[in-house]
Amino acid sequence: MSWLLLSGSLVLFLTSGAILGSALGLTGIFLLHFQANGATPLAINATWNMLTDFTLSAVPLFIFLGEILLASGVSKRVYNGLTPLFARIPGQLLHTNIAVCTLFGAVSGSSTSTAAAIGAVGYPELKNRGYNPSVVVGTLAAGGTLGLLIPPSLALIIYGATQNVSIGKLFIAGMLPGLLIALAFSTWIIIRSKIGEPVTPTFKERVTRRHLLNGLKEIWPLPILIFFVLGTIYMGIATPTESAALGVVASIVLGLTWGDLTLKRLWLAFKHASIMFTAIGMILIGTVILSQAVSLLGIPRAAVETIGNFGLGPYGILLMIVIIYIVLGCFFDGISLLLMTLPITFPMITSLGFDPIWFGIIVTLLIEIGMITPPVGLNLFVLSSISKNEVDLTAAAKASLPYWLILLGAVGTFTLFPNIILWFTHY
Amino acid sequence: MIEKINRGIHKAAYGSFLLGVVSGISMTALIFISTLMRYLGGRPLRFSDELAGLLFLSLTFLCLPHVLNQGRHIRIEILINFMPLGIAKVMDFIGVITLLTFCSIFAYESWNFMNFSFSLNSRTDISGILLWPWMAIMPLSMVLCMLVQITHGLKQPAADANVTEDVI
Repeated sequence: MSWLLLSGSLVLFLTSGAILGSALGLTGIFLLHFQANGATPLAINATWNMLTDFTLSAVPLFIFLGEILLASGVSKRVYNGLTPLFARIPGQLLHTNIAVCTLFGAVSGSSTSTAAAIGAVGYPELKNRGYNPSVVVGTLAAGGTLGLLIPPSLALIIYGATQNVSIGKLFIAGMLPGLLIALAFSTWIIIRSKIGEPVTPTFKERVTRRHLLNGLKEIWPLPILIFFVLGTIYMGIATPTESAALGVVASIVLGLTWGDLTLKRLWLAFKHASIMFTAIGMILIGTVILSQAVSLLGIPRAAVETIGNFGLGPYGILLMIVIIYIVLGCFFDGISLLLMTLPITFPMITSLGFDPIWFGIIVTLLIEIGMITPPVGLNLFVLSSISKNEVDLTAAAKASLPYWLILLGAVGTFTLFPNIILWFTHY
Repeated sequence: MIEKINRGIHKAAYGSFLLGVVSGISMTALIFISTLMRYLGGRPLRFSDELAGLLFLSLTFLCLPHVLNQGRHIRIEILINFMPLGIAKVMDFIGVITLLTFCSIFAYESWNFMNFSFSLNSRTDISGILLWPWMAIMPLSMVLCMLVQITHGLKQPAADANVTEDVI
């Protein structure tokens, strides 16, 4: 009966285009009322406990940080600074997109802000230099996904805070996979620029050591910001929430002194970030109510038992979960998908003996795949609109396909060799 | 007259949003100062973690009505876009009912939650901050959300493509 109520309510509310948070929350309330002897007050308890949680308050702080960086125009300086480094490598400035996204990902927690910040600078620059627009969009969409995996990551913070997994360990675990994927993206760019029709213009400028040094001088403040955000966590000086607050203040100081930030733009950045966070906050409310109901009724345990009867084994079930995430990733945005599914998938996966930190990285990767999967791939939308529809959604999706496959390959590789993720967390 | 009431509700939602943004900024400043005092001054602020949590709650709930008014909440619209207009309208109405039902139940339950806390005069564990005024934000926000939805009639508020408030 619980399953029928759960699936029936979700199908009806979600297909109606209801606000996601209210759809999830009302389903949870129905379950609590009809299946748990009218335990609806638990919905409020759960909401209160979650939204007064100090750890989870890192989520709006990292959104503030990303918006302030965007408003500061810092991405343009970083982009210009790193450009000379890649001028001689096959694929040239396409590598800059990946490198800048990797660096930006180390200070911003969001995939979409990374794609927007770097795309707004990178797309016009590379298009004017004669690069193939679709290929540029493909690299930017893929690079943007790194923002969600390379710490600090909104997905990892939400995963850690809602499932009681150490956020510090998740951040440490995300670093190596993020860098390996960035390397794999760059390797593909080199291969692509050597085969098939040319995607980069012929390079004529001469890059001297002076150019390189001048470029690096342009980006000197960024390591300071990375230290405030990540260094303080890794060194055990600050918790993720504290490091986020340090990062926000450091980004304001850098934006005002080094970037183009003004007080008016700062206020606007806070307003934009609050709107973005509230949209996530509403889903958080709905999810925590649903999660409370689902765990109270033992639905995940029942699901594990039912699936166990199919005789699939842990890896068979994992494969099923991966497929479900990829399919749902076509229709839901990343954070919503994460919040909606974790109440069921997290207890399921951990009860099968998989490591919760490992699963945090895998689920983030699966969400990243969704970010560049049409029709709801947010990064594709953002970049298509930045290109003023010169690269439409279909072309953007096609250009992102190789990176989509790389991300999927990474899921397989990290499943076969989980220590790539877990190795650093042992130290 | 109705136009005036609607404008008043929208203004109240925006005012609540601005208060929410200020809560977010205060939360950032509080955590920053507390971190500095903890690690540099060696004297952490006694009330910082609890107050930051309460400001976090305020940020979320105070911004909800304006975000609803702007049509900025996340919805799954892909299926509706493929439906015939008549069915899409019915589905949209179901979406409105879903929101109103959710908000009314949440408002009712959170009012009871606040009332219970008020009767006990309950406070936070460490810093002794009185809790019921913060709890009151939840039912108030939900009631304001219902009023905002009612001003939009039987249709869910849609995001205005011309509003460029969001950079991202």
